[in-house]
Amino acid sequence: MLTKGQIQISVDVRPLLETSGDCLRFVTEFFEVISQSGPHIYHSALQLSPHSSLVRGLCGQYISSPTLRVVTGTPASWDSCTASAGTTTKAHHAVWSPCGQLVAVGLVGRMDVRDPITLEIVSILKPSNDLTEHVPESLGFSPDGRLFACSYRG
Amino acid sequence: MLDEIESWTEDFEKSPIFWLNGLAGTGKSTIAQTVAERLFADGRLGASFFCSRAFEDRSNLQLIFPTLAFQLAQQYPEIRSSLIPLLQSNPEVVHESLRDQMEKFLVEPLWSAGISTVIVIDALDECRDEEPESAILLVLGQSISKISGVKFFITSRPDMPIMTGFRGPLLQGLTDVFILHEVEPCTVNTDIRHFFEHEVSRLARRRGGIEDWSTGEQLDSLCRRAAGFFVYAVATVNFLDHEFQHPSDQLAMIMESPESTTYEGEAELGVYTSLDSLYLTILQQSFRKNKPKDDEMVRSALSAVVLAANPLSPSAIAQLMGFHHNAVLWLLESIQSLLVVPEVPNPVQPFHKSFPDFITDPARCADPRFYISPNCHTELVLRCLRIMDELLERDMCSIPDYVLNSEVEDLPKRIEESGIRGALEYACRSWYKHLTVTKYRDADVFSALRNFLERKFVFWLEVLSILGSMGDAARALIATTKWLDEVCSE
Repeated sequence: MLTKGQIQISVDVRPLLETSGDCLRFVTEFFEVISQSGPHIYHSALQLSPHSSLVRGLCGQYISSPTLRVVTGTPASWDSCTASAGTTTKAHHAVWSPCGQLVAVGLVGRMDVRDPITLEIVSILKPSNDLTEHVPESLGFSPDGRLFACSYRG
Repeated sequence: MLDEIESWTEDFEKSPIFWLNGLAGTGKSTIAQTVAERLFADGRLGASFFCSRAFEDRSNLQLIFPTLAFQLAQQYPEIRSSLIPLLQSNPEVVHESLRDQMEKFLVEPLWSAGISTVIVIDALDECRDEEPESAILLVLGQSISKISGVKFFITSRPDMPIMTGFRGPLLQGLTDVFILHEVEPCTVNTDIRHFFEHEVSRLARRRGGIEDWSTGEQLDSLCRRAAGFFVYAVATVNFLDHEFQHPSDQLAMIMESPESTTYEGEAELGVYTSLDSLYLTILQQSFRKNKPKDDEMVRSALSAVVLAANPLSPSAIAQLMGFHHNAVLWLLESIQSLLVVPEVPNPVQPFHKSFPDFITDPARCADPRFYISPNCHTELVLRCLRIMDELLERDMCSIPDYVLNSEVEDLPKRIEESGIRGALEYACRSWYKHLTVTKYRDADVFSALRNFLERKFVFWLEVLSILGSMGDAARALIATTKWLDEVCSE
């Protein structure tokens, strides 16, 4: 018999996590300006946030400025420093792909391959069932970046 | 005992630290208050910090040394003149480690000023400290020998991190200890009897025609029930002095409850039995005519009193929890012997820390109608999200375009008129504290959170900016993202 708790866990929380992470990036990037002036959320912060930002997508309708309009130069995505503000998972290892377009992160029981700019998960790699509690000992891309290997102790 | 403390404060040959160790309800804070008042009257109180779990800023370890330094600077010009250059050159010092804070805020200024003074820290156990050994005591042990003219009067419950701190090699030889709950029972009982007699006769005088309501036998019984705990005596007198009930009826209710009951969580100590019984009697008698729906309201309102991150006024509780203001006021006043219900708009607080301890412990609060479980945080976060959804909107304070918050001269007035203060301000600043302690994964919470982030996020930021609380925005989002990440990993 299903309990209420089991039903609740089936709710997909990942989109909510992504929204929350993007809100955190927005605050990290524009903390100073918003701290000093509330209306600047609408005048500049939303306008200067990247096109890929979820906050911009959700709140873009509130962009308003009587004198300022960004014509060009709005970034496509958060810079890598701001982007990292949205992650809280403790990574044990991380390696960059040879092309610099991907970063693989070793976590307990899985490896995430992410876009290093947006931190969007490109792929999740999971080891066999008996290693779900383990952390990979080392990780590495092949020289052409097409293959990925990891090793576990024991 | 006050004489013993008095002689310790005057004799600088004695240990630099006095630790008043006592269980909840033995009167530590009252003694600390009295000691501080006496020292203040003599001009010998350097500074004091009364820790309290009920207030965020009074349970934050990082604020103890800066607060003490501020008070010392007000008291002594020589301390002021050494602290001002420090803060001008390094305003970030308040964020440094406790050890650096101790050195810069207390040791260096006090050492160079060479003054003798007494510092009072009450209820050290009420500060949030996860370390196995009290962090404050550790730095105190490392530094106290450098400031020989300064004495510290510290009170606390006998919690393990604090006991470990005082027993450590750094402090053991430097501390006088007084264990309040080991005072001879006959001494305490005599004091409690005097207290009852004094308060009862005062009550009789004030409420005329009731001189004969308390017999010596009843007093004996009350003293036995108090079992050495002043908090029991104070709660009893508060209960007898109920605004709408006759004291003799109130006394009869107490007498009807058994002298010794099985309601106790701290069974190994065996000390909370009669106190728990009294609290339960007060709750059951005050709400004896309640229907089940009323019980829900009682539990909701009490959860807002005991679980709030910062104390709320009755009107803020009513607004937050969706009840009528008068209903909440009536409810809170019905148990005025357990709460301090002040004039509007001040916050309502438990009359003593032992009451929240009691009502949040299922082993002590034997009536499930009143037990405040950790799941009550779920209701609180939903209420916070709901009120933000209802009330947050763009430009609530009509701020002109392109000005800094600091340039709006009448900003405080605009904030007052906007209706942000009270429940909405609490919700904006504290929703995440309730969210991140919920263990129960409630679909309604995820739905309300999604709605909030998608529809009200920027209005929330605007309010926090105007309140000067953007740090809360960052803390809220860091904590929420981490919590959601944990949920995803389950």
